[in-house]
Amino acid sequence: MASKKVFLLIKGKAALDINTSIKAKDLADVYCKDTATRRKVENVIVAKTPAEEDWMNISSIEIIEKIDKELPNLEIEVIGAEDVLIEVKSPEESNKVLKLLKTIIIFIILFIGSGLTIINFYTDTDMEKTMEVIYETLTGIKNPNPYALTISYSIGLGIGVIIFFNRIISKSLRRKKEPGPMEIELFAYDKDMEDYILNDLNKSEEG
Amino acid sequence: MKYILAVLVGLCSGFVVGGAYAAFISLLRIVPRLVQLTKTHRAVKLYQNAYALGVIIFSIINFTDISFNFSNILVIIFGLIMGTFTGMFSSALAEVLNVIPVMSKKLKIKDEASYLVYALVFGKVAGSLYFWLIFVNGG
Repeated sequence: MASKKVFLLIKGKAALDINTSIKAKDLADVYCKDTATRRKVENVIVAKTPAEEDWMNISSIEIIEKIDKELPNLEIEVIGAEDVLIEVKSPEESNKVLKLLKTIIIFIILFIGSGLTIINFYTDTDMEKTMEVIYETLTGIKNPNPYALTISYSIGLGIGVIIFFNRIISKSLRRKKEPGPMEIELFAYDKDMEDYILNDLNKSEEG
Repeated sequence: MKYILAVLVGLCSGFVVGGAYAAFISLLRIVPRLVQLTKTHRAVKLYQNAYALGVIIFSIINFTDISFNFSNILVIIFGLIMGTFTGMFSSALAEVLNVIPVMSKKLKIKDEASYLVYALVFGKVAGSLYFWLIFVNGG
């Protein structure tokens, strides 16, 4: 029997429950011409997740090692990421009420905070005077408290925030898939954090 | 001679301040965001000119005593537009500070993060209304 060629497309990251065995298919997409071999490779147990929530990483070399041990005579070709970062989570710890409470607390913090910062901004830049001058320029009337300008301005402020963060209402599926600045920022933050953890894990392994 | 010097100083400081303003505005990425929303990539040059024109005209108005005779309806439209820009401006700043991503990540409420934007919206409007209706009038 000639050695079969197996392709492994290593995933960059995976999320697994605690106390489970990590199978090759959790870490990589497997391809082999022979379906039976593919199944076998997919179900090779590479490692076990710890009993509590943690981060761990498995390098592509470790995956090859384990597969080679159990199924010799395979020619393994690795493509994709070099390491897999595994987020070990305890199953279904999400508590709906707690989550709602957390959201409400942050909502209140951001609500009051953004209100305060906008007032800080106004007093800092002497917005009162600015509005008075603009109103005089526009209408020729001196009015120290031009409600027509300031109230519409306040409403416009909200519109501006919505425009910046939310996409324009559109039925197009493509438009719906496009992220806003907040989603991109969240994604970038997650990615940076994972990179950092991976780097940290690799460092502690070497040291 | 005096005037030549004054013009020179004025031009030079204008160059620096204008350049700094343009750099700061580009940093906030408001125009790219609006272009992405409206799919008007071709008009980017026009938007840049709008910025430049706005800066020039408003700075001239600021230094002179020009005044118009606009009706209140026009004033309201003006206020709305000014507010919209400031709203985008301040959210661009808030976004740079990364508050919502960090908070929602730490407290594991990633899915609800999009609702938190409304906290910013209502907070800004409420704070602004409070300022103009109560704060300015001395409580």
